[in-house]
Amino acid sequence: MAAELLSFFRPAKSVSGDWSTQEIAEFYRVEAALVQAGASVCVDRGVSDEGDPWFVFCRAVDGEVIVHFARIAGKYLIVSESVGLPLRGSDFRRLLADFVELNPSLIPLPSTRGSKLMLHPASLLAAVVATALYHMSGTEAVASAIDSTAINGSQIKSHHAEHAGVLGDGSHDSDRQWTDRQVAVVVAAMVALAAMEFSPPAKEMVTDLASAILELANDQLVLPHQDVAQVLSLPGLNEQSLLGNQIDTHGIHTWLDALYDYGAGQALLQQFEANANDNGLPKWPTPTTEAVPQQSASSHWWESLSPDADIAPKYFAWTDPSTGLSGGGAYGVPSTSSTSIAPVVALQLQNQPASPGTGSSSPDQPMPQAFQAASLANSELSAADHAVPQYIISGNVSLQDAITFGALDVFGPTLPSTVQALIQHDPTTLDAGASPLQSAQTLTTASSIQAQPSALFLTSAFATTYQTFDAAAGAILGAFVQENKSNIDEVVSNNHILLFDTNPSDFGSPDFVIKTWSMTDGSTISIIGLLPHNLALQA
Amino acid sequence: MSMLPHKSIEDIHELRKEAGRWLRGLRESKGLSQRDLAQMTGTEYYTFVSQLETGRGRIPPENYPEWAAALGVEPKVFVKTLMKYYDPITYDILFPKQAALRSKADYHTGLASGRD
Repeated sequence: MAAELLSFFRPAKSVSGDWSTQEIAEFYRVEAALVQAGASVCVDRGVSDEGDPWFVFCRAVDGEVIVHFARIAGKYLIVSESVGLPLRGSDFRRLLADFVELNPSLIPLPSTRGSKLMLHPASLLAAVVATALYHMSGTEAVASAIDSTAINGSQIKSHHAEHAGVLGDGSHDSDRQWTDRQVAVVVAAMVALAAMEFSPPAKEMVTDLASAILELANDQLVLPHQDVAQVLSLPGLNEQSLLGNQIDTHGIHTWLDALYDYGAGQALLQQFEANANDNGLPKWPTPTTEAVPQQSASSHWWESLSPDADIAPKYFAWTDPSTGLSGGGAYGVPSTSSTSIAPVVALQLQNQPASPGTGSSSPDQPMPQAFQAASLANSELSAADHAVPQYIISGNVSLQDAITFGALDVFGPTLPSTVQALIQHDPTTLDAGASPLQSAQTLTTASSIQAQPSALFLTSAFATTYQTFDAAAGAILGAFVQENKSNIDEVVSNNHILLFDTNPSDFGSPDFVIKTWSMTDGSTISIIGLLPHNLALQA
Repeated sequence: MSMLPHKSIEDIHELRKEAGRWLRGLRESKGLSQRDLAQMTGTEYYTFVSQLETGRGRIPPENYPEWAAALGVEPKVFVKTLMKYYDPITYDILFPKQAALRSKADYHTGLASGRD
């Protein structure tokens, strides 16, 4: 299903005529998700007298058009009169991303640590429609756009009158709560859409969550802890993170992010930020009984979490530069889970020297050459005022695992199928005992060999050959940094380093590449992301 | 409180469809394509004309003069007609005579079609 979805969001190839079945299905899926989240919308579509298709989302309560999509002469168009000028382009997904970027009010903004909410392409579409709905409706009018019958005859029927009274009191806080609730609805819609990609239990879970959001008493974004806990059961999300017995907008984002991503890395990082002190510094978690202690997050253990290749386990790792405290963890769906999603989070904290990339390496050890190369990239990014989020992989998690699980965690189902084929754990193609990434990197290397047959290769500690990092590689690395300047995160594992592009709109590009180089000291540097077209061809 | 007729979403949509048919008739009688009309009215994307003619959305009031001119209709007549479709309650208050006539016509249409 993900592959079908991607086809819609890839750049148009001189498309003409009515929407394809796939495109129409996508629009209707978004409508369903919005309705499921409580936003009362309807849709309509048509074809111009020249054969160009259009599709509109309308406010069901009065039929007003929220947003108009069209494809004119092979170029996509998004128009929301309430939001701004029309956006045009041949890459629909990029247009959606641009729209969201231009209208960030309903999308969780990148945090101060640089982490981003990774949006599923179809969720972007839902976000666009919901954002336009929000802008068009305004604080008071939007109340009527929430269909009180959408969620089981919910308790919000009288919301409009009540809210009007609240506004009459001039209560800024109530205004804020209403906005927060809108945010929650929008995010729930996005998540609902994403969840449709997955299993029935996930759908049920999302429905429950959307219901919980919309059935809030007194129109306040206050979710009883036990209700939330009933909906989702991430052990790490406890009373502390829920701010007592309430959950705020950030908490909603955190929960939904976890749901959405099917990976705890991003969600947990945000959860930690939810616990942040007033000074904005993250309060790092300490091991608790809720965590599942593991001696080491070995690849074997990862795989044991999920024998089902469709539900890949995830990892996460972090480091606190102020204390040198590092942690790693795993997230997965236990094999015993048959009727509900029951994520498991394992935390492992240990003191580990910060990587040379952070500028605080031990003076007794020479900086691996890969880090020197990365340092150049980091300094370039620093000059561009971009703090690179860095994830340290501790213990026995190899860079191969990092790439395998990290890429899936970050990119999720939006990962191009060609890349998925490289990194996906497919037991049928692996020798016993081989890690998924070993085959992946073998494949990657094989393509490199084909591209540059005269290059010198080294053998890494994992018996995998990589191209030697040379001046040409440096140029590619520099171009990669330039190309993705504000969207680069970094994963460090022992003396291996990975820079990856986090911009979802890049994932479907044919210029999206995975590349690894070896240094003479055995360290490696890898990039995953968009390259300028000419270099992507070489790579 | 006045007892203004309530317009359901179905009523509203039906009126918009009528407006769309009316606009389309005007355009076609002038021999204009949807793209022509969009250009003449300063509409940035011509699929908006198709959308209007289907009965979705409405012409922005600030563009009424351009639309009236492009379709060759006297502006007051154009706006008054549009009001009938876009804002029927206001229209009925401002023009009760026409409203009464229309109600009568609707009644007879209903009888003819077997509606209550």
